[in-house]
This record gives sequence, C-alpha cells and structure tokens, in this order.
Amino acid sequence: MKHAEDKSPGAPIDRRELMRRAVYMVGGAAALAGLEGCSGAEGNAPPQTRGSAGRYFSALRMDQLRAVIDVMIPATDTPGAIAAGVPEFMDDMMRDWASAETRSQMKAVLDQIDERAIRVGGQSFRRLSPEHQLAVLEGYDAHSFEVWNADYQRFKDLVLLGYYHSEIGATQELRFELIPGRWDACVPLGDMRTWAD
Amino acid sequence: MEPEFDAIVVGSGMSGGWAAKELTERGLKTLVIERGRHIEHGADYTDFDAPWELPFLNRIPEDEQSLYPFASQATKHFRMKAGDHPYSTPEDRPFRWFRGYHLGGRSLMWARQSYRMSDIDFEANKKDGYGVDWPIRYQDIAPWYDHVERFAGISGQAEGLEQLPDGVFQPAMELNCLEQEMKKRLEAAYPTRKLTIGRCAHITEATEEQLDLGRGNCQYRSYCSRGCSFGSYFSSLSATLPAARLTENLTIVTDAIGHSVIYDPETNRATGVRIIDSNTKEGRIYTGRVVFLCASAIGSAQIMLNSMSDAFPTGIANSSDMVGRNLMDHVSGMGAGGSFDGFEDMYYSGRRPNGFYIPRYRNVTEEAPDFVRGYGFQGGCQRGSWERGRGMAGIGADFKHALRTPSGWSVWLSGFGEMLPNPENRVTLHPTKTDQWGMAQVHIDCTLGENDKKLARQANLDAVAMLEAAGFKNVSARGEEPFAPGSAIHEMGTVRMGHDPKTSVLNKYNQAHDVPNLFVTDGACMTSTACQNPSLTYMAMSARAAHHAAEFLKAGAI
Repeated sequence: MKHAEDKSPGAPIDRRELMRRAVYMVGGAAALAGLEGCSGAEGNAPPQTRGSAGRYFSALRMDQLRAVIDVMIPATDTPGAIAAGVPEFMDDMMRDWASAETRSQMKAVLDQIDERAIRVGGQSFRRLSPEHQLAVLEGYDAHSFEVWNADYQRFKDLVLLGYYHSEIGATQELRFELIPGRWDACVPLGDMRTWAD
Repeated sequence: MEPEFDAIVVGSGMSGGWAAKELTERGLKTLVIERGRHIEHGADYTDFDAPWELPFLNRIPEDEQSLYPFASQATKHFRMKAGDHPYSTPEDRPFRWFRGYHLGGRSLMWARQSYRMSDIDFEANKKDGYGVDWPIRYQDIAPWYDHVERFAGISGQAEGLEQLPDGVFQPAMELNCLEQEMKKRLEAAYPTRKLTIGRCAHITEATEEQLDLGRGNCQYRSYCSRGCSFGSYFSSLSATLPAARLTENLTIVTDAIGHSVIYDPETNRATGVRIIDSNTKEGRIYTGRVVFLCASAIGSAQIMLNSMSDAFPTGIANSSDMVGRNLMDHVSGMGAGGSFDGFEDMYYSGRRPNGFYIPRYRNVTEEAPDFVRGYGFQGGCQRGSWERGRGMAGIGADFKHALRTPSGWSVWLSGFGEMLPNPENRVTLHPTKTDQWGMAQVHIDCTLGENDKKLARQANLDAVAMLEAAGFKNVSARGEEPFAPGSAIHEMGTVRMGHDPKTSVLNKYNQAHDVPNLFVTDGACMTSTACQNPSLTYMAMSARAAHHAAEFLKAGAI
C-alpha cells in the first residue's frame, strides 16, 4: 500500500526539476535566463489578420473587437494589445470561460460601441478612421464611468488582464520575474516599471 | 490477533504530518489515513507557471466559480468541489467550513503565519472563568515549540514580548519602506503596541536537516498557494511526511475516509479505525495499538461522534458529552485600509509571502473597555499595479503609459480576535442527512457571542485609529459586522483538553480521559483559541503527544 517514493534514476528530468536545480546552483533570475529553451509554453496564439472569424466571434465581430482593443491599448514604444493576442484571448474566454451572462454583456458592449460610432461618425466602429475611433471610444469609456456601466467595466477588466498578464504585457510593457530569488524591501523606483504580478 | 500497525494517524495535514513524523522516528510502524487523493510534492504543483501559461489567465471558468470559492486556476486542484462534501447549519447561523481533502490537507493551503501562545493564553480561562482551565502551561509546550520551529523553519524577529514568546527563528524578512515608517509612527503614538514582521513558516537560512529533505530558502515568488517545489514553506508534503518516510516505518493510504474508531470494551482500548474507500465506497478496517485523530476540529469530532458503542452510546470517549461542543474560530472580518502620501520614489523587488503583525495589546498592556481577551492584526503596505486600471477611466497611449508606474502606497490591516468557548456552539451528527458514502453529515450550530462581537467592534475602531495616527489618508474600516464563524479557517475546541474528565475530553497529553490509547492533536484539542494563528500550536501539540504516546506504549501503559 506504500506509495512509490523515489523516481528511478533514469527517469527524464522535467522542466520543473531543471528549474529548481538551476535556481539552487546559480540563483534566481540568472538561472532562468539560461533556461529559455526549456519553456513548455506555446505562447499566445499569433494575431490573426482582418476578416477571419474567431473561435467564438464572427469575422465581423472579430474585426470590431480587434479595432476596439487596438485603440484601448495601442502599440507605442512597446507592443500593444494586438501583438499580445488580446482579441484572441477575449475570443477564447467567451468560448470556453464565460458564463452566458458575461457573453451577453460583452456582446452588449460591442453593440453599444457600434451604436455610438454610427451616431457620432455615421458608420460602424471598424470602418471609422483611427482618429474617429479614438474619439468614439474615449467618449464611450468616459461615459461608461460616469454612469457606471457594469458591462463595460467587465469588458475593460478582461482586456487589461489579457494584456498585462500576457508575456508581452508582463515582460515588455511591465516587469515580471517568475523566480525573484530575493526580497529587496526598499529600492529606489527610478525609472522602474510596475510589477505585473 | 496482533494489530497491523503500532499507530494509526487519521489525517495528513498540519497535525497528522507531525504525529506521523514523531511516531515513526520513535520506531513505531505508523499508518496515515487520508480521505483525499494523493498529491505528489512538486509534480502536482503549478508554481512554475508564469501568468500567461495558466489556463484562462488564472481565472476559473465562470460557471464553475461557485464550486471553488476563493480559488484560482492555479489553486483549484487544492480545493474540493463544494457540494461533494455537504454539511448543514441552522439557516440564520451560517458557518463557513473550508477544507483541504488531499494528502497534506490544509498544510498546502495555509497562510503560514506561525505564533506561539503564552501563559497569558494558557491561564486565561482560569482567570476569567470562561471555559475550563488548560491542563498545560507555557513551560509544558515551550520545548515542543522549539522542536517544531527548528524543523519547520520559522522566519521572524525576536521582540521579547510577554504575550507573544520568541522562538527559534531564521532570519526575519524585511519590512518595506512604508512599513518601517508606519512602525515608527505607530509605536510613537502607542508606546504599548508593537509592529513586527510576520513570523512565518518559510525557510530563510536553510539548515542541514532542511537541505537533506530537499528543502531550500524562500525564492520570494509568493505563489505558495500553488504548492512550493522548493519546499521553502512548511507543509506535510515538503517536510514531515518526507521525514517520516525516511524511517521506513510509514505507510500512507489515501482515498480513505475516516468513519469511526473501533473500541474494545474488555480492554477499554481503541483497536483500530474503520474507513470507507472513497472510490469504491467499501468499508475497511485497520488495526493499531494507538490511534491519533488529526482530521481537523470538525472532522475529528465527527469521527468520534460516529464511533458509537454500548459503552459509548454518544460517541467514543464522550462520557463528558463535550465531544463536538465548544466549537470556536477566530473572530475575523475586522480591520481597515488606507492610502499614504509619500515614498513615491521607493518600491520593492521580489514578492514577499508575508506581512507585518501587530501583537495583542488589549488586556495585556492596555485595558479593554468592555470585553475579555483580545486581538492581533496582520497587515501589509504595498503599491498598486496595473489592476487599478480596471476602475480608471481612460484608454489609449496615455492610459497605457499611466499604468506603467506603480500607484501610490496603501495599507491593509486585518484583525483576528479570540472567540470564547461556549458549549452551545457545537457539531452534531445530522439525524437524517448522509453524504454520498453513507456517513452522517455534520450539523454545525455556531454563532458569535456578546464578548466576541464587542471585541470585533473595538478592533475596527482600533484599526482606524492606528492608521490615522500613523498618517494614512482615506482610512476606512472593513465592515460593520464580523464574518460568520469558520471564515478565519481556524476551527478549534470540539474535543477539548482539561483537568477534569467530567468537563473535558482530553488530558494534558492530548490523551482521551476515557480511552487511554486514543489521542486527538488537531485544533479539536484547543481549550481556548488565543488570538494567534494556531497551526504552530497544533504542530507542537502533535509532536508532544506523539512523544508521550510512544513513551506510554514502551512502558506498557497503553
């Protein structure tokens, strides 16, 4: 009835064990730098091009979603939410994670944005010029906080999560260390960015 | 017939792991029974997953969330599904019961705060008359605190406080800038109070013994709730069970639900434990010379109440009728938060899995207005990250740029108060409801008393006053009402220790007054709760009881 305790000496060493050993030999982040190739992560799905349907959203909806998310978190001196795969993340979340209520909330947000685009700019959001898209979305965002639009709050929450906890968002826009290895209680902020996690 | 084992330990968590280690190291062939599934240290953890590697970026699918309260995708595998293990309460008296049904139990889920109790705590019942007197004093357990701290690895700062005795400490984790400033201001405003770094079961300077068990220093990831492959924080899986295995005296059976203790009236001894295989639902019996119940306060009481015989019609060793009574938790839900202007140019690096602690001062260094006992506060100071963007208007490059730098500093304080024993707060077996294995469900009837509520009110007032005195802004208390009992996840008291067999179940060795080879060493044994996090005391109590049980066995006394 005893459980097997020892792994046989010939058993392959997994990524976890390799990381654990490397950290004890070299310490923290330095060890991980040498282990890039060991990552079991497949990374985010490569951003899809215009006009292709998602796993949940139709092609038209995906185009709108990409346009909205691109305006919310654009590429600047660091990659933005498109490069980080946030539209695909949202699409995956709606298909496999969201409740029926959340799905209808997200649909409502996209509808509301299009309604505003048509009212203000005369056409659907994805067809507006970048300047008009920014103006429409800024207005919608500001209004949503004035009237406490819960649907949009949830939408924004997911977009931010999708970006800042993506590999790009966490490591290029912000900072992240999987294994800090040490605690420095008081360090000057300088030009350091916020920790992603 | 010879028993199969020298000792049977029911439960593999904080207490069961220690009982197993100490019993096996004394040469006793020991069986550990765990109702949950096997978990492999390291291989079954998710601590090497970066945020973007976790499914759904660490959020549990929405339709499953109610089944896994307070869990994330990375910790869900340490949660039992709500509904699989039902219990009942009176409708107007909720009790929240969080469990860890897997090998290692809640030692994989705990917050790792580790504090000694003092004679102020051990003498409290006798002095103010609530509950019965503890049959031990600090000097009885102090060497066992030393023993378990040395092995477990407790990081902390010695402070020389009467109400919070110092221990065997590994180097303390540092307070951050604002916490250091807060300490200065708080102690200046309140010379009778103290702020110290949390004492936590994390290795900061590994000993040879810890290294030999494959444990090492904390890596400051703060992913503890996912399990720690470095074995840096103490758990049964990282520490006690591996040590017990080395003796070759250990047998572990998982998926085995403790059903009852078998009793032989001719010898007045427990002769074994009946279990139900959680997969096949078939019953099985294991025999042993001594039985340790370490199934958690409510779990151990349930097994005892379920062990009915002609000699003990209301459950084994229950001649006092105290089994299941005096259920306590810590009073929780009190505290405050606030923001701080200053230190904008300072930050920290690494994720410290620990906060600060403000030890009890009420009825120690300061009188309390209208209640007995007291409370302590856990807390921490930090700067906000991108999460604040959720509640901020704005989009585009400016918004993105604003979230690049951390926000200002904030503080949280969370109070834990002592709850008084009350025999009417009790666990019973439900007369009709059973679980899917045919076991009678527990019915938990427990509510906070007047003293508990008064203490909670004052804790809120104190929290706000302390933060304001320390210069915090926008200070607000956490809530008017304390949380429902059970919320602190510190259940205690259902099989209490005491001098008198008429009013208590266990003697000063955690040995049942009625059945001398039955020991209970988890939270059930606690005669009072103190206000400190209790796990360290369960550890010391378990090690101490195992030592005495082994001595009694050797002497032929049990």
